Amino acid sequence: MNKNELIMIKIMNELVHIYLNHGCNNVNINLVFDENKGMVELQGAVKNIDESVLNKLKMSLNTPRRDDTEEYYWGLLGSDYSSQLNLLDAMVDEGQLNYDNGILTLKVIRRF
Amino acid sequence: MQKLLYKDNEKYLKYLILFFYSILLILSSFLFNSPSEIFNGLKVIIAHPDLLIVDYFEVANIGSALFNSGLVMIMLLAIVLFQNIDPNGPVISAIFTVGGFSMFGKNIINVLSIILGVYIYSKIKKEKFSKYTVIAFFSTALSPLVTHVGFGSELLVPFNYIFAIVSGLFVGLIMPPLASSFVRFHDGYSLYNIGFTAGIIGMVVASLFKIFDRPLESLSTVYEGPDGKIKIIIYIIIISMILFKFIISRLDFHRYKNLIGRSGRLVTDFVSLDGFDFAIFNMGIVGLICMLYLEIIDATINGPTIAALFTVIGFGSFGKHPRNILPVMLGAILMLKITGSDLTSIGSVLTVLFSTTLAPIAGEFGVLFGLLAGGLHASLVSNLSYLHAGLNLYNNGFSGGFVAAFLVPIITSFRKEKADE
Repeated sequence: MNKNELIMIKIMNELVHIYLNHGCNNVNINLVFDENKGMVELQGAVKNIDESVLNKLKMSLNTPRRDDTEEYYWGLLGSDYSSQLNLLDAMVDEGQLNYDNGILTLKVIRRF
Repeated sequence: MQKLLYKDNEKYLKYLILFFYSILLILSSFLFNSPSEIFNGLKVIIAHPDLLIVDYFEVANIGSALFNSGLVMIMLLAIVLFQNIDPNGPVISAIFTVGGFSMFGKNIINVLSIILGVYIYSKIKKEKFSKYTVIAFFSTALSPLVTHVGFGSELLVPFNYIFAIVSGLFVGLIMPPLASSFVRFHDGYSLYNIGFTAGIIGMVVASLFKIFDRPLESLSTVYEGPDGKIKIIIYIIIISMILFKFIISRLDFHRYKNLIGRSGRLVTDFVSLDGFDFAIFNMGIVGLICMLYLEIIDATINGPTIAALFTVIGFGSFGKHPRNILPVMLGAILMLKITGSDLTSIGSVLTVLFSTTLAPIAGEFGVLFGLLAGGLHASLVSNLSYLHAGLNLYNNGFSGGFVAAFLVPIITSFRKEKADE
């Protein structure tokens, strides 16, 4: 497994944390790789998620990617103890969030 | 999001302010010594063995140490500028840390081969050096190895210089994979991660020296005053950081509570999360707290003390704030007092200031665990330096990694059980 694949798995873990921390017990995951990018899309029923959490998440997913932190700190993504949204936002190129009828959909793309 | 007045030119403003502090250090050096004294002092600094603790204020002079520090900071800024990196928290903390340690252990020569080693690593991996710049800067923790091989070993000229460069390149080549691996050991709860990594490398290298019957001996050369003029320079740096907030943006201080509400765990970049105006304000505030502590205990301001101050100030943009540093500092102070240590000794001063590497523990788990972390750090740090024989300048980062790795699983384990009940 190459490093880009490992990073995508850690990004996926970080996103799964969000669903589990908000009471979702059934998350559908679609993880796709091609030559130039990785894409992960998650979908699950999340009840009673706060508007401020959604806004924070939306902002995190759309913060510009930063080179200077990822090589040093990518190992911290998907950590056991607490979320690393601050790191996640520095490591993805694009992010989308949709919350409709209690279904939360997250999609992120990372270019290689 | 509220538009800040300086936002349009933020990147250039950051460079401007960082260059301002570097030039301030260089210009202030002439308040202490003449140009010829500074030049001769720089020659001493470059050639003097740097195993912990060698204070450039003492082995050379204050002017040379300040000049060296400003010059190293400008060199690092030029590397950052050349790559068009936007200097956020990680970069700012690295520049201030290396600038501070350029008053005891790092100089314009011994940091170069390590940075070059990391650059070669990035080329081998076919990646941009900008991805490794922060690692390269912090990796200079092991620069005493370069100076020791070059000027402290029995190797003859020119082999001493060749092996000094090779040892620096070697450190630079192995640091990136080790640093990103060891960060998982403490899971980001110790901010000086490369201090931990450099401690492990230093331990291996010191063991090799010992087994080949060339044991390394730690040094202790520390300036003991007077420090009146240097204090004024430090206060100018700290107060100007606080004032910059007033100059460059609005008086929206209610937003500062967002910053001090953060845990500070790696990776918490206050510059990107809260804006450069609040980051620099916070840098000044944490610097002021440390400076007031030094005033209260009446400690002498010297090279190692300024290194600790600059490191805390730098990390004021990347994880440290008053709410998470005070408990760990207090924990370290209490442990030192209980055990009868002299708080004004250089070892105690560095222990208390550098204990803030564990600030994320207080930030995430609360004051009591912060106190515990600081206390444990104070007891552990003095037992570790012999392992790397002073090769690792970030000895407190070495200790902090162990304390965090020891405490965090215990805390979270009991917390989870409590939550499950």
